[in-house]
Amino acid sequence: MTKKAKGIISNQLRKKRFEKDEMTQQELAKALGVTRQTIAAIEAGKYSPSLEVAFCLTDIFATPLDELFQWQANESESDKD
Amino acid sequence: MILKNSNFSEQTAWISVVFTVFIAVFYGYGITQLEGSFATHAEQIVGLWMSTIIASIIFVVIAFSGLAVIRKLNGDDEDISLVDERDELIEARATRWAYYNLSTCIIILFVHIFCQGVIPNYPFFTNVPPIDFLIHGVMLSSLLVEFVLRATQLYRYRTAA
Repeated sequence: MTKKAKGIISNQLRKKRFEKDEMTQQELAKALGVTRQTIAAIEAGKYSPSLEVAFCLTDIFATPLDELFQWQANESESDKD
Repeated sequence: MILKNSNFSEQTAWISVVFTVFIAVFYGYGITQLEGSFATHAEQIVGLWMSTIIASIIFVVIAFSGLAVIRKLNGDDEDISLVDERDELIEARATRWAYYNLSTCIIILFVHIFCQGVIPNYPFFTNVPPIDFLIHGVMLSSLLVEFVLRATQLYRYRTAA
């Protein structure tokens, strides 16, 4: 059985930002040391950040990683003998 | 609008795309105005290179001055030296496409020159000496590679990383 890393990563970044005193994308970008466009791309699901950035996000929002990011495996690709 | 919603890396990619098209047109027009070949009129080709370099400098100065004004008007105070992991990933992927393009261009150039030398009645660019074909081919290939690099970057920035 092989596992291929194919699937969809969704995230709760926008929700968490608003919960944290309506933090702006620019403020979050500054805190992470990335550009605002990268935050926008992550929120839109167009870009998956590195583990380093993901763990920094958990620090900033004081929340577990699996609350911030969710993984939905593509069933047709994930389990093949 | 596009410049407003983009970071500095993407903005410079837009400028580079326009720059390569401008220089390709400038250089292509210059080639059509040349008389004779490199062996007999080398000074003309050197003159074309010089004028292309001067045109490039003028274009870059105007483009980046314009970009600075636009950024100021938009109130964009983002650090222009900031290149994050997404920028690096996009550049790496674009560089791969540019590398394929460069390899293809070099192979085509040398295959053409080889064929011109060994095949009687070779039908392509019969009136262009091999050295001229190589010189102009390398110049236009480098512009094409730069165009592919920046266009791929823009595609990635606009769609997904």
